Amino acid sequence: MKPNHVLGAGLVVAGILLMPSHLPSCGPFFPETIFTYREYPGEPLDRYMGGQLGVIQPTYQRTYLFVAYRYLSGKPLTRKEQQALQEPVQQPASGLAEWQGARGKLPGAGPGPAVNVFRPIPGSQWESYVNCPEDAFRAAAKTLEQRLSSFGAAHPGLKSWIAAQDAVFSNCSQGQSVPPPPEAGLPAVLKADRAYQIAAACFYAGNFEEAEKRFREIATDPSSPWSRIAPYLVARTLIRKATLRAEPGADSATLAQAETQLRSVLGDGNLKQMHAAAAGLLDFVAARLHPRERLRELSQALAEPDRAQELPQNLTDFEYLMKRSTTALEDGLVEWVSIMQRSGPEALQQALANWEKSGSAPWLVASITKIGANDPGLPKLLVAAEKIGRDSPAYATVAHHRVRLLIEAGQRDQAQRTLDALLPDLRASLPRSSLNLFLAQRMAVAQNLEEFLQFAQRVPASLTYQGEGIDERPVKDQALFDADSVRILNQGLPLSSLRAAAASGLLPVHLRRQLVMAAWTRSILLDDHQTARALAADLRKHYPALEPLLQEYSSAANTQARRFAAAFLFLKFPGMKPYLTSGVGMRTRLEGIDNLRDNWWCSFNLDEDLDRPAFLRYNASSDARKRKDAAPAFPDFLDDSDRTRFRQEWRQLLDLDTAPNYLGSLVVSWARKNPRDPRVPEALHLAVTSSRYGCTDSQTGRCSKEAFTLLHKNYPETEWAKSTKYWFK
Amino acid sequence: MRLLRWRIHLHLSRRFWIGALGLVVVLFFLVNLASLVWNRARPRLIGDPLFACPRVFLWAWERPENLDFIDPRQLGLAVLAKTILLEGRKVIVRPRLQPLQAPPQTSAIAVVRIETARAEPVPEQSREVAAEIAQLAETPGLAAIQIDFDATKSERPFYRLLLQDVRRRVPASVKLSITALASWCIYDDWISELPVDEAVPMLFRMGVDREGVVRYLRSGNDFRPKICRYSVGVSTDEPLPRLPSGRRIYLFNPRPWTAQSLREILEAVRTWQ
Repeated sequence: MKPNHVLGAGLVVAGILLMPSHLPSCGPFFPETIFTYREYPGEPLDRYMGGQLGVIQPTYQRTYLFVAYRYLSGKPLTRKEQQALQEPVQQPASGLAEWQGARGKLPGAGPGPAVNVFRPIPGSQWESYVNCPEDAFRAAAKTLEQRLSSFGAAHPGLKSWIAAQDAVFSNCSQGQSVPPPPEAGLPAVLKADRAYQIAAACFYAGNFEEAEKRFREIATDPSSPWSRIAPYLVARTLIRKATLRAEPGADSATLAQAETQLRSVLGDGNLKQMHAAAAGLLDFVAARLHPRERLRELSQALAEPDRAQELPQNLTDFEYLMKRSTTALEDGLVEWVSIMQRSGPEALQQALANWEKSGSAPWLVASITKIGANDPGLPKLLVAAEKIGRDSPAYATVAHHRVRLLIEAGQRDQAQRTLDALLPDLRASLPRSSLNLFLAQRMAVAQNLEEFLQFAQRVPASLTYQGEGIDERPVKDQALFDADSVRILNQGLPLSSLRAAAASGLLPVHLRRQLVMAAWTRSILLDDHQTARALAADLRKHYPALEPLLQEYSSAANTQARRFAAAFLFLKFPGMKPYLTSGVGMRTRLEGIDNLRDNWWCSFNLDEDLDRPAFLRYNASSDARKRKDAAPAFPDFLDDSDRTRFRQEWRQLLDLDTAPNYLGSLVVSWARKNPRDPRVPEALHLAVTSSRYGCTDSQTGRCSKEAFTLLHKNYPETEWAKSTKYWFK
Repeated sequence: MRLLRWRIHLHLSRRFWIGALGLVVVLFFLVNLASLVWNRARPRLIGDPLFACPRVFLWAWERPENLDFIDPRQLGLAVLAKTILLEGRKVIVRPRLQPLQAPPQTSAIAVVRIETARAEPVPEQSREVAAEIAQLAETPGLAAIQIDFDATKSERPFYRLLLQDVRRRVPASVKLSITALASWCIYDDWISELPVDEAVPMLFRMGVDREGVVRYLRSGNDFRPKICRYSVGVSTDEPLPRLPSGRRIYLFNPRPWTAQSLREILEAVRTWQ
């Protein structure tokens, strides 16, 4: 075999072996740049768990609001509690596999019949439940191993023991099998096992009356090794009886019996080994029988330190009850979390009333998070807010809202001075997510373009493809434009400001590159060839591949020739856009065709945010909705003449068609007048291509057909005509 | 005498047949007129395998749903009854674990969602999966079984085999429905020959296909395979401007159903039907 054959075969084999075994079947997924988290404080969580709360967002999940409450109320999480909240949930090993393994140790027994752990709920057409939990198999495996060790594999009682246990597990999915009574002559422990197996079979078969009766009998037999677990199992049987029914909700009377039984287990010192499990079940029952009381109990338990062991379960119960809670509960944690998560005047009034009453930090935070600049309660609140020191966990939140209120009240100079005083310290101490909130405020009160650019660029907190907290990727320490920055750049600054921004040394090169491209493209669309010429040098520097086409543009003899030269450039570089996108933005090279149709921009007059991912905007474009008369996003520093200039430019942009139509029309018009221009066949070919891969609308088909027809009529022998087989609508 | 009787008989016969023909013509006219009036109010498609079922079905996915407020004369439920995960050679079956409340007379379709992980399914798995699906046919009063499987190209032979097996196991009275990517019903028809009664074009979460599909429908085009022409699947958060009329609508809601959300979407549905 030739060496290159060996190499080829090797590559094929390597390719097959290295093929990823698990790829997501859905998609496409787009990178989402997160500048500020809304639902959780972001990684690393240990900073937040350790009390560095940053700016507490009312949109955080309840667990994180609970953590904030503990620190704000002066009861920080203990080290153990912090660890308990961050430990990943351990998936228990398969109990069924353990049982099958133990069974296999008996010669000839094998792993036994297949077991399905789900059983339909009686009377319910659709619903099933996990009838046999992992623990059931684990307990059976452990008992079998003990009996094997006591009696040896040859003992005849073990064979019938296994048969009885198989009968028990056969009820997991269906049926009513009950093992036979113990054979005469069995050792006492195996007889006791059989009694337990019969009770368990009734339990899994859903015959709860019989199971309860038999577990009660076992509980009164002191010689049975199962007598100590049996009282607890009586309670479990009652709970199943109360909850596994077709009717909605649980049967309260039976649940109450279970509650009594569990209290009796907990009150019996001889049953200490069952106390932890019984306490857990009692909480389960209490959450259903007395949800209000249980929530109050949880609120108190969670508000106190040193209960790390119970913390994860308590938080789970807290979530369960808070989701279903319909009535307000006037109790510290529950009330605070509930009010923090609500909006509107009622929530504010409750927060303020609680703050007036208590003067506590949690209620100060809740009040200042919700209050508006015109609220009569504000002055008093601000006096208290000023007293919050740097070492307080409320410091960043209170500072952020003080600035917000200054801005809302129109005291922008004061807000700017406050921020300038705060920022050096905050830059050093806050996580990026919170810091970005202050930078956004500072940008909002920028007094000139330089200040605006300084604070419009921010380092993201993370990058994700599936939403906050899921599969997040670290980001480089590279500043990008956030959505509020891009909104002003796209919809609030005239071309002259964009040009100045593109030349500003305050921005890193990669942001200047984006700006110069957007400004140059926009200058072409606005027919501002003077600005376009001025920007061309920078554009050439950032994108050397554009050089020859920019040269053609610069040397064009008249306006029509310049327009065509620019259109030709746009057609050859589908990634050119007259606006900016926030975050990581487009990942495709300027000259490449993006597979998800982020090519050749959409019309400005769609009622869609320019910063919305092109893929989504493109889809929305099919509805042909027109942009409503949206207010321009003017920054404060923009003077009246610049505002007027922007409005004029914006009207011009709104009148323009979507890029494939705009470019196609220009090219067809030029081609008709200048049929000998050697660029024309390629330009016509690209115009048709743009109607396939660009942002199109109902008129695109007409443009595409015109370009296609002209190409095939006038230049049939060119490679461009040959490679243009269809037109598109 | 015999000749006379024959003549009389023939004479009566002619009158009889003329009268009968007239009656047939009148009846035909009346039936068509009634059908026209009926169809105007409630368009139905000829050959609809679920013609006796409500025109709107709500998908009840794996989450607690209280649908006690629905009117079973107008709405049916397509209930996610099982999720089957094909993981390597394993078949993992997870029944519905979340409660569902609905009026007792509600028409129901049992939905089975199939997911694959790690490797392509193998023919041997189809028997086990088919048996699991066929079990659902025992559900009392079931109108149909619906299979939801976004089969990739390489999974299509498996899916075809599976559907043939399910069809053999399930009585003919239980109709077989599948969900279908819109592309399967427009330009990538590999489903026409499948042994199913209905394929529901899923007109939401279409990704890159959306623009083309919307444009295709807006131009007045219909889905190509006949089995795609009885129904459409849409989502409450992604309403579409124009749908072929007369179709059964399957409604997906990314959030639990409420009386309010149902009222709102039914307003839109009325314009589609």
